[in-house]
Amino acid sequence: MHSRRSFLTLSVGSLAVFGLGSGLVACGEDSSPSGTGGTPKSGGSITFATTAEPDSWDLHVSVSTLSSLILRAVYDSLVYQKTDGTFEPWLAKSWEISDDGLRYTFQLRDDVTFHDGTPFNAEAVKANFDHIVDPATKSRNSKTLLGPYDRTEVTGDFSVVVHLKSPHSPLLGALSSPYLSFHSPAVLRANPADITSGGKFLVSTGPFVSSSLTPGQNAVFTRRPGYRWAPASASHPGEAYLDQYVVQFLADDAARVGALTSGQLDVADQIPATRLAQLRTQPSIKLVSRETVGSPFTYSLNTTRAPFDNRDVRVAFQSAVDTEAITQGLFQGVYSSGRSVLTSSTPGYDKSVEGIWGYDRNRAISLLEKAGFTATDSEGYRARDGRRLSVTLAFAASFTSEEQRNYHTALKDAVKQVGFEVVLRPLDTPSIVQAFATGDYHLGSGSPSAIDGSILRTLFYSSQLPGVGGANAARVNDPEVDGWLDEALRTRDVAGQNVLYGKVQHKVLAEAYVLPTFVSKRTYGVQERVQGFALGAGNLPTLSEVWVS
Amino acid sequence: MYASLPRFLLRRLLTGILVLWGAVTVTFFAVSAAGDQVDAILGPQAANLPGLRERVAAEYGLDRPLPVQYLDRLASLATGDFGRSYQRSQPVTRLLGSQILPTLQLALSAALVGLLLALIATVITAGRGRIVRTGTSVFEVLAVAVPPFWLGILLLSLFSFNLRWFPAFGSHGISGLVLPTLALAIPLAGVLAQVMRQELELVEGRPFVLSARARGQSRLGLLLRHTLRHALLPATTMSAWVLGTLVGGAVLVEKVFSRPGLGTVLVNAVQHRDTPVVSAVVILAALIFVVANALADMLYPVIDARLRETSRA
Repeated sequence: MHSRRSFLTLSVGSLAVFGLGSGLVACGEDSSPSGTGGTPKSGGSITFATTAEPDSWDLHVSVSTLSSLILRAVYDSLVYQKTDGTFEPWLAKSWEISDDGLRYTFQLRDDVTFHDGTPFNAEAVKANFDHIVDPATKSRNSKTLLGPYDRTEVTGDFSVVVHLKSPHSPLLGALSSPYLSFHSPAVLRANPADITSGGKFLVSTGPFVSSSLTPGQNAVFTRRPGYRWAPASASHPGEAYLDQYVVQFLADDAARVGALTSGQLDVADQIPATRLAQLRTQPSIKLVSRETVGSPFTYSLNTTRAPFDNRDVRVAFQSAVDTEAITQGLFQGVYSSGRSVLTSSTPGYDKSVEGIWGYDRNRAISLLEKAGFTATDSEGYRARDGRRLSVTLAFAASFTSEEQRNYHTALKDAVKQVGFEVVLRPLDTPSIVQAFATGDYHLGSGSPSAIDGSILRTLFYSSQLPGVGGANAARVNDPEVDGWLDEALRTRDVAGQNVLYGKVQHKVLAEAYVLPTFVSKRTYGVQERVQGFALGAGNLPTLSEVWVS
Repeated sequence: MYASLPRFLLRRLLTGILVLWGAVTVTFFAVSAAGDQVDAILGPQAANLPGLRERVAAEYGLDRPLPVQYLDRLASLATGDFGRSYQRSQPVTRLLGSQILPTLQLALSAALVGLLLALIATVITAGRGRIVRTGTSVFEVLAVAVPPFWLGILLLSLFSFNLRWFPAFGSHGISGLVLPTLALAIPLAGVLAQVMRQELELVEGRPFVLSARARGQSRLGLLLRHTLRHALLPATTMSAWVLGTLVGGAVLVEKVFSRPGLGTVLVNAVQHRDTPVVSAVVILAALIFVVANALADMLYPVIDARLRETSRA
């Protein structure tokens, strides 16, 4: 079960297709920093349980959300993304983007050192980016984040230029993520292959130092003395308050919740939705949660295969499902319903799409009749020319959560009301890879996490088919959408990008390429004594600001 | 017996190698039948990235014909090379090395505690009245029927979450070992107690026991010197089954108690389709099985004097 959780994608989008990964990145409305009592003080330690050890301890190799969760406080980034989607300096004091969008020039701080004493400088940046694109590293996520990366040019001790082969406006957002942060050049030189095994080999510039790892059990991180290069908007700029934090890997949900309620843990990650009601009654436990940033759990309608090559049938399908009612019924208010292909907390979300589509049974019926599905077969499904109106929903059996399966069943029931048949097709991993590479499916589903609206390119650009690493499971081939997405890559101001992303959201919903459904949440349970526990960019806890009373 | 020991060991060694070869072969072909290894290495996200497949296939030697891969696998295993983990990209031997001890610790303590519990139950209840025996039978059946992981959650809830006597996770020395050991030992004790009591009651009805009692031997003395040995025989015969239970149970119990060990590694490897690690664990399990069976066979004559006679003959 935890392998489903432990995967994410930022722009390696096939996840959208396979429905892997619960989301990350967020800035939701229902989040509040835990604890308000007293003045922060230094000292103490917390034990933090998550579900598993990450797939790899090398952030440049990992595709798991767990590595960024555990290591955000160990690794700093060049720039810092604030919750409103804008950027501020971090390890880079300033930056400049050339007019053609091909060169990003960064002026670096000159007072930063790695945990091993190695200075952080232009050569260190170059060594890391070169490590990511080196085929021997076998990077997937980080490499994709770098986009059309060409090379890094060292123009001074503390000045670098990142050259791109084509404009790529999501680069700053990518550079703010832990997946493009920096290993000590000394480690990259001496033990590059050992970074993936963690522990002492994780050496970076952050407020905590990786001090030990017991594989499969726990990892210990201790305060870095002398840390003073936090981003300006951090509420606590200097050294971390905590002496250390211990990350414990507790795969079993019951064990994690039980250990939290009995006081053996300070923080527990991924509280299951079914345990929330019980925990709300516990005065000593605070719950901190945020909605996924990225996409809601979304169905993609394969536009290249009948009957979904017909717009009327797609709109009928979209109109036949009362997503608000199903989400409410299945999740009892814990999750909300998504109204666009981005969640409302994702930078770039366009609120104006909320009214342009929705449940309308009569419209669904009249559109199906217009499309010629007027007959009814012996089982009550609509038919045309003696063929039943039937579609298949292909999904990866081992990466689909209980919640998602329940939604599949609810969807099947909902469209049956208008005479539409959905056949569920659970597949093993090689078969699903095969099905999505060849286009042999009618419906795909997934909830990819992202940083901002730039995920739309992975989801809808004509060349981003699932067979070649994209997540365009609807197999949209729309010159207008492609045009907007290309323009977004060249557009440097965020507001301008968001206008374009808004247009894309309008079109893909109006054309019914997709059916967005529920927006999941990641909930942390926190002991009362833990203060200042808040979720920053990427829904990652800002551990350097946490203290214990 | 001692005269034939070398021959016995040689026979054991040969059958052991045969069993291991079988395990390797079955695992190898099961894995290759399960689908393209490259998909497993890359995962669904990256499996279709252009160019990556060919490179990975070449790197792991998966682009060669299956028989060549198989022979290569046999050759490297013969030299103790279990290959590299797809997921952690480090030698499997290093990955498993640190995990064997915790599992062995758990399995041994569970075997000992299970045997001890079974012995106590046997001695106390054998030959007693109907009510006592019915009561214990119900207990034993319950103990056998309870899945270890469920028992583990039950023990956790009671003794860790509520009473807070023992930690819920981690290897905090002895205190961290108590609950997982019990979770494994109780179902084991249920089975062992049943077979041992049956045997004990059978033996206690034999004439030699009656005559010994008539000579003034106490029941305790008889138990220690004679009858318990008989009761231990079927338990020894079941050692292979016990081992299977322990290995299977450890996988689940390690997960519930978040203990390090082979079980955790195996579950993780299966989830990530890390076949070199899965194969190594299977081979290791087969090896343990072979060794334990050999040990059990060597123990028979030690426990049962009659077997010593026959093997000398």
